[in-house]
Parts: sequence; structure tokens; C-alpha cells
Amino acid sequence: VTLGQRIPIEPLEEERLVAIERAVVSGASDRLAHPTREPRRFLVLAAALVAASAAGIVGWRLHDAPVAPVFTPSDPPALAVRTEAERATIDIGDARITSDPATAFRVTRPDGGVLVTLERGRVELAVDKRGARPPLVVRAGETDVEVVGTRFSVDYDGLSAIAVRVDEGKVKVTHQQRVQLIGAGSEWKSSTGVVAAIEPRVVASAPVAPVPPPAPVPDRAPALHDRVAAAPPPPARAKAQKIERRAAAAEQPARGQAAIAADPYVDLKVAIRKQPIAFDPKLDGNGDAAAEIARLKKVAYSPTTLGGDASAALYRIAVLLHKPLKQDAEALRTLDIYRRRFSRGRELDAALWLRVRILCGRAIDDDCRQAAYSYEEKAPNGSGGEVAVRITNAP
Amino acid sequence: MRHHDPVTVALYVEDVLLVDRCLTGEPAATRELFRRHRNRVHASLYRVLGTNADMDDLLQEAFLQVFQSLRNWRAEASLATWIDRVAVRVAYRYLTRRGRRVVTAPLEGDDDQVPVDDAGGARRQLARDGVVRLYAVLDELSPAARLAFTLHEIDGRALAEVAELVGSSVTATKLRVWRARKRIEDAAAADPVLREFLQEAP
Repeated sequence: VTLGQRIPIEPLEEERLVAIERAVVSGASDRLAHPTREPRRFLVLAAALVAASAAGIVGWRLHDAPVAPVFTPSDPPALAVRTEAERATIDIGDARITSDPATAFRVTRPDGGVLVTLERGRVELAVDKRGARPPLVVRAGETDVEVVGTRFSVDYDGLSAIAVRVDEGKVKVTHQQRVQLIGAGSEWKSSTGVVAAIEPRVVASAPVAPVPPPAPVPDRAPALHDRVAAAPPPPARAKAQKIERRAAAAEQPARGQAAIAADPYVDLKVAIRKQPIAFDPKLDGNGDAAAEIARLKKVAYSPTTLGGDASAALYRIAVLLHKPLKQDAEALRTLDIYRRRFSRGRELDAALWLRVRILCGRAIDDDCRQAAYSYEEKAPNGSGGEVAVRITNAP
Repeated sequence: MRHHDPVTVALYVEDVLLVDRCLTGEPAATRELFRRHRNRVHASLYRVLGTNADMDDLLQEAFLQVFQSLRNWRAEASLATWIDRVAVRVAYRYLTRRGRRVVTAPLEGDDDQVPVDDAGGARRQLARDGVVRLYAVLDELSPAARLAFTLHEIDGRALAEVAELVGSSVTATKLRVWRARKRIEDAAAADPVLREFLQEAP
């Protein structure tokens, strides 16, 4: 036995570890963005070598007969727009794009179509019917929103969160190779993939930095944006939207399936739900949950109850609160009491898993990850270990 | 760095890929790197500094330093060795800043009364007392000597590795370890608890 092996290392408590991990993960991005630079002499040397080689090549070329310049077709003209402090509107003829402050996007016209590449921020578009013309596409990260109809907005944080809101007509969203049609009065989010009904938006008033409107074109029907420029939509339009929303609600089951498929956490959530609950009221039965809880409370909090019975009762209270009664906040409080009172309780693994199930059932967020982390650490042999690891690594 | 067996090569490739992911700012990768190395770094810091009220801050600072310098990892050393080097620097700065004195936290379970007739319990109590006394002597050493001694004698690293970690020559490291050992032996001569604790170790 070496000297080192005889000195016990005091483990860091889980809460402390979680806190450190959170601080490290949140601080890491900042530190990575501001790295310390070590002097890299080899880079200087490499740069000198490259410069010498380039000079040699240039000298050699100049020494030769003059070479005719090669012309390459230039890229299609692009319009780069960055708005930092104000909303801005640009009119590109067949579409009008209004951007929120702190938005950056680029407009190109590949093959006669329109491609709006959104780097970050939010754009609202009012688009003429495309008909047989090449599509108008808004690209946000890896998501393409293709315009089928008329008025919609795309919100992009520049990283991964994208929200598409359709006020009129329809758009086709292609995200992770899945295609979804989003109708008027609906909103799609990349985080959930769920298409949800929305209230019709009041059209924004005149933009802060408007671009002069295009010159009127004779014999041309007024562009759609001319028609929607006024604030709230006319009653007829609102009524039409209401009908469309009702129709969308009628289509909900089919959409629901598509939405579930697009949810990035859908597999994880299914895996969480699949994990059995120890003492499942559905399986183990409980006539009246409230009465059962009242009975169990007497057991759990009685000074004469033995530890094992009290811990079992407390855990069952949490399960009953969660499953039939759906009082998750109360269930979580009960589980916290359980953890404090019975840190080595027989049901500890199950109690920790129940926390994961409740918290991750809401969202795969930090609370959920922490619960999964606790489970992973304290119940390393628990049946939900694999799922817990997946949760902690979920982006 | 030379990599011979397939396992080492696989780990090396894994490290490179993980660092790449970290550099793109992927939080899951950051978390993974932290989890892979935290226990080892914590153990090293603990062995160098003993039970310590600032341990959380030190562990956090070590990893933040790792991420700040991650672009400078050239994959010449293994990622673990490189991270250890960063952690050692953090420990060194801490010792220097503290003027060698370490804020020692009470040992977990110090208040537990061990029955005298329990041989196992008595041995554990001796070990606890011995550790406290050992770190009290280490507090008197220079930061460099303390690092060299603890990394070699307690953390069990080879002298060459210690020299690499602290950025010193093997000869200088050996000398520091020898001096520290001498200082501890002198202290043990006057302290029966420390003497007994050290005698149980090889």
C-alpha cells in the first residue's frame, strides 16, 4: 500500500459537482472565445516559407510570357443586410422583407428564385404568389422554409433555435430532411418540431427605416404587401384565418404525427416513459388516490413507523401525486423530503428515477439533466442508467 | 508522442475529436471533457493540497483554464497529461498566492468517535491524524517542493512525469523530492503519530 493509497480522497458531493460542472460548461464558451495565445514560432516560420515560395512563383510567372487573365462568371448579386438598432424593410419586387433589430441576412437570386439566408434575428416576409416561378426560400441554419403562400416570419438565434410563424398562406419547412407544410395561423419551432396554432398577428405599422416603394407597374395587380400594409387584418381575412385554423385543428392528428417525428427529443422522451415506475398505481392499483395518500402520510410521518415502512410510504405518496393526481410540484417536494430523510432508502433508485421522469417529462432542460445526472451518479446500477446518460448528453 | 497499442491510439483519436467538438462550442462536448477528467484532476489536486475549503473553486478554475488554453493543445502530449499540467499550474499558483498555507477544511467524519478496542477503527483514526500531520509539514515546504513531493510520493507519478508536469528538470525534481522527504522525516522524528503513519507506508 503506497502512501497515496492510504490517504482517502474526500469525494465532492454531487450538488457541488453539479454546480462546478454548470459553472465550467457555462464559462467554457467564454474562455474558448477568448483563448490565451501561445507564441507559435513554427507558424511564423511556415508563413515565411509560404511567402518565399509565393514570391518565387510570382517571379517565375512574371519571367514567362504574359498570361491572359481568366474570367470566371461572377456570383449572382447578393444583397447583405444587417440591422442593428432598427427594424428595416426592403422590397425586392416580388417580396417585401421586414427585419427586426439585430438581424443579419443575405438575399440572392439563384436561378431566378429568391434565397434569403438568415444568419440571425427575425424576418417577416410578404410574398406574391409564386405560381410557376422558382421558389422563394428562407434558409436559417440547416432549415429551409419554402414559400408556398404569402405572409410569414422566420426567427433564428444564429445557432439552432428556429421559429416559423405563418400568418397567411402556407410554407414548406425542410428541417433535418423532414418536410412539413405549415398553414396559416400556425407556428413551427425547431426545438419541438410541433406545429401549434397561434393568434393572428397584428401587422406592424410603418417600418422605421423604409426603403422607397417601387415605382408603380402599369397593368399589374397591386402586390400583396400593398394589400396587407394596414394594421389589423380586415374582418373577412380574420374570418378566413379562423376557418383555416379550424381546418388546421381538424387535421391535427396527422400533423401531430409529423410533429412527433420532428421532435429531436422524441426518442428520448419515449425511452423515459418506457422506463417502468416502481409501484405503478396503474399496475399495483389504488382505489382512491387522495385517501391512499392520507393513509400513507400517517405511516410516513409517524414516529413509531420503522424506517423501511416510512420510506416506502413516502415514495408511494410521490408516485400517487405524480401519476393519477398529476400534482408534479407536490410530488417533487415529496421526493426531496425522501432524499433528505432516506439517503440510503430502499426506494432511492426508484425515487431518483421518478424525479427524472417528472422533470424530463416537462422539458429536456438543466433541471432534467441535473436529475438525470443525480440518478446516474447515485444509482449507477439502476435500470434507467442508460437513458439517464443519454439525457445528460442531450444537446 | 508515440502511440503503440490500438487502445492508446483509439483514446488519442477520441481526445482529438472531443477537443474539436469542444472548440466548436458544443456544450455536450464540454460536459463530456469535464466528466472524463474531473475525478483524476480532483484526486491530483486533493493529493497536492489535502482536504481544502477552496477545492471547488480550484477544480472549476483548473477546467476553465483548460478551456481557455484548449486551442493550444497540439496533441503532442496526451490530453490527460496536458490537463494535468494545467491543473498543476493552478495548484502552484494557489500555493504561491496563499503563501504556502492551505485553508484546510475539517476532515469528513472527524467527530466520529472510534472505539479504542476496535483495531480497524484505531488504524483509521491513526491514518486520519497522520494525514493531518503530514499536510501540516507539507504546508511548511516551498510550493515547488510540495508539488514535486506530493505528485511523486502521494500521487504516485514517476519523477520524469513530475518533472514534465512542473516544467522542471528531472534532477531538480529529484532534489526537491529528497529535500521534502528529509523535512518530513525530521518532523516524524519528533512526532510519534506521524512516524507511525509513515512507517505503515512502504
